[in-house]
Amino acid sequence: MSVQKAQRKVKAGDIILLAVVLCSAAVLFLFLLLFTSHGAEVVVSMDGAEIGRYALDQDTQVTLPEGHILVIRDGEASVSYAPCRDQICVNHISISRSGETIVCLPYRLVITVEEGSA
Amino acid sequence: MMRKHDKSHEKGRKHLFSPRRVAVLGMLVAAAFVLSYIEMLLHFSVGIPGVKLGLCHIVTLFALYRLGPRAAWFTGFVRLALNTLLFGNAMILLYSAAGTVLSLVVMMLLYKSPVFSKIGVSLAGGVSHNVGQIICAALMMETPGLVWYLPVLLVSGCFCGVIIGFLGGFLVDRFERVKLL
Repeated sequence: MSVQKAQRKVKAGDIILLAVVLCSAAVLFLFLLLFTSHGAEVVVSMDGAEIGRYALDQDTQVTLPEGHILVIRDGEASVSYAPCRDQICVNHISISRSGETIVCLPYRLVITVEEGSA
Repeated sequence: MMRKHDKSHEKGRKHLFSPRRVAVLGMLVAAAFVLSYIEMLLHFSVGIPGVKLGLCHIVTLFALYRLGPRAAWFTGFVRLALNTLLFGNAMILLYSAAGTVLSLVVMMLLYKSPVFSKIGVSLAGGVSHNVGQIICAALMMETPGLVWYLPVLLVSGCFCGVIIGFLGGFLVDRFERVKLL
């Protein structure tokens, strides 16, 4: 009974708001997908300073200064180990499109895919 | 305890911290805190940081509708401070504070509007919370690439906001005739 009551109380504004947000998300996603391409290299920076640059087409594994382990496999980059507690960067999906980023907030570590000069 | 709907938050302005109000706010903060903790135990990850249900916002919604914006701000910030002390760090405080502030502002502006129900207000709150977080993180990290997260966070904010709005709205309705203050 209370479920039906709550459903009846959904107002027009709610539906419009939902539609607007979902549409803008879809548009933004399509835009990003269309205007970016598969990147060539990953750039690692800490505290805003670049500390390394690795090609995406070579499988490799790098240990970063704070202990993070960056893995590049099949043209995708991911983090397999992080010394912090929240493990957000480890749980992050692999990145490969230019502009995609993995961020480790506690260490101000940013891993970004770039087009590359090569 | 079953009485007519009280206009308590108009009256409450005169004595902002009456003993009764302190007790009720304390209870709400405790509830929000426990919900944050439960959510942490139910930790799941979809590979995009920032996607979470935000169970504690049930309390924010409840406080907003039953006790007014001030109580919502109060419970929101005390919960934030407690969470940071126990589970977080300074960086996480900064960006969750950005999300909380933006969502509270948006919800405060919308909740009196006749166009939106509690579900819509909560949806707007969820979306603006995620947008606030992303803007804050992008500014702090100077990384425009974080815009990649936006589509996912917009959608997750919508769905989580609707779920929270449904649960919170249900609670507000259930407690409609209970005198809080």
